[in-house]
Amino acid sequence: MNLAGLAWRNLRRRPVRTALSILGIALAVGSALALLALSRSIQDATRDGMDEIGDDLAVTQRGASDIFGGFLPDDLEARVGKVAGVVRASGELFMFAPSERNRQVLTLGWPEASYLWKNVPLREGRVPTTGERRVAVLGDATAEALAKKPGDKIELLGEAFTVIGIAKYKSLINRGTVMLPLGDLQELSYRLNQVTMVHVNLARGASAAEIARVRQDIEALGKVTVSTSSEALDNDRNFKILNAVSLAISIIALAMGVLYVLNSLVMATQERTREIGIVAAIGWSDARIMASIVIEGLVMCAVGCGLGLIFSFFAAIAFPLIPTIGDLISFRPSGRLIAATIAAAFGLCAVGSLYPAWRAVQLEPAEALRRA
Amino acid sequence: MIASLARMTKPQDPVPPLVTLERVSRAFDDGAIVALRSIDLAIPAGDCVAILGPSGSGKSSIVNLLSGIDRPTSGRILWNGTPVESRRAWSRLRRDGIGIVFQEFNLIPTLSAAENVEMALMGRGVAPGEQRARAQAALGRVGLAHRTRHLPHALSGGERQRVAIARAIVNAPSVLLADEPTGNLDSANAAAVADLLFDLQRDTGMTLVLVTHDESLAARCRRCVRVRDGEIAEDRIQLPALAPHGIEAAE
Repeated sequence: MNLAGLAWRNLRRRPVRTALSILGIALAVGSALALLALSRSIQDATRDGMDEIGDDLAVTQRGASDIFGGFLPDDLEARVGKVAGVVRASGELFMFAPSERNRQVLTLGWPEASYLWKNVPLREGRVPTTGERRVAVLGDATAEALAKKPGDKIELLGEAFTVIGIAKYKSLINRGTVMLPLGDLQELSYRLNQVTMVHVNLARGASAAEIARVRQDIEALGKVTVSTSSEALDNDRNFKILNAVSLAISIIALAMGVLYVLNSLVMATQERTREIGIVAAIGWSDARIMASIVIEGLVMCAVGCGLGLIFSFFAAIAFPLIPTIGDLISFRPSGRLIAATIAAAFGLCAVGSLYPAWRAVQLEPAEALRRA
Repeated sequence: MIASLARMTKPQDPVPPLVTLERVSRAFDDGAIVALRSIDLAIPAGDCVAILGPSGSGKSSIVNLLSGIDRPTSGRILWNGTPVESRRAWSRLRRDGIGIVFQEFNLIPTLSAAENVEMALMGRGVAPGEQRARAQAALGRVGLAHRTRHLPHALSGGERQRVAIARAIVNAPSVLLADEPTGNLDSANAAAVADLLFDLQRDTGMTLVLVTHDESLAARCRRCVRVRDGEIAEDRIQLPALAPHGIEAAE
């Protein structure tokens, strides 16, 4: 027999309490994993969206708190395009715009000559022609959610647009967008001559030194920040808040799970005071007695983490099937996130088990044996 | 012969004591109850000592203090001439050199007979395979080779006490402390358990300290220490030791 085997035997002596404690840990770990994965997934999905469009660099207003919060003059596109090393550049105005069925859709405005239109992976229909106004290309998820097809009308910002194409992007963010001519979006959103971002493509195989020089040259054009998609999102205040909130809630969830373990072990050690006296009397050291109790906590934690992992994967599969959730988000816990969450759960469980373990060795063995 | 009898009546032995209690007192409830009053007691290695007295006389307190499962209120306890004070030192002593048998058996109810014995080996970090083999051997030594898988509730009182004895001897201790080991047994089982303890003492040469209120059981020990009201009322050698492990060989 070893300590882990003994711990398992002891846990099986009180199956209901053990099961409830394990369920508590499982829900805590599952919730923490789902929440953290969700916040990471939103950021990752946004990055995937920017990368799918083909960004090497993104130019935003210097000091803007988030990617939606800064504005640039639309003539910056041309000036950026002239910087040595820049192959092409395109301005983009984007915002969440009110649409039908009380929905807010991520709406992108692109200049009519932008290369971004040429890169749209059309499933059906076409992109706007030069000078064409009040037309829209829908991501397939938006089209499906609003039941639109080419030729239909769609209401955006209180105006009717004709759907002329359906795009089949891969990233969830882009699948949920609506693309309009830049002039329409500027006009309807009172952002005349403004864009939110300038997308930049560099020559293939540009060296790190070359990229650094291009960034410097663009930043010399005005009060702008040049960053990769990852840098832009990592510095985004909204994502920082989202990550901080999800981390805080996850810690609370895990702490609650640990409280289940602590409560269960405190009760168990009180009930087994005499047995603790017996093992002390036959020569178990305080450290070994404490280890046996901490291992009980860790065994509960291990089973709880396993179940929590299953819960989180179940949530990752089930949530996207729920219409109001699945249109907006999808998530899948990464290996790194799973490892970090499980490590945190084990660390907290070990700490939480120490108190009942410490209590267990405070009595002299003779006193423990007297407490039948 | 006369010289031998004279030696037999004196508690002092030439062999240095294995364990010594020096002016040891034990009180409970902030001194309201005094279990032991400044007693001195030295037990040489290999001796067979009965601690005899009525209920509440303090004899169990002596065993608790000898094993370190309780602490004296004052005085000190020496093993092989060295004072033992820390919990850690006491744990090590119990793990390596002391076997304890209780009146209440003190078996863990959810573990089988063999597993209860293995618990004493777990304290020493013995590998599981070796634990099993040694536990089987110890249970065989007490006549329970056929009951190793049984839980305590499926064993008779005598069998439970045998399991407790197997657990106490599995680490080959130098001293076996038995606190009223026959107190909860019927006469037949009590006799069998007593025989087993004395056989073990004779065969292994371990020191046996037997707490009892049974005069006939105490009479089988070489030395008898009578305790009354927390004090040693009498301490006498009543039998010669047995060769080859004894303190001195019988003439």
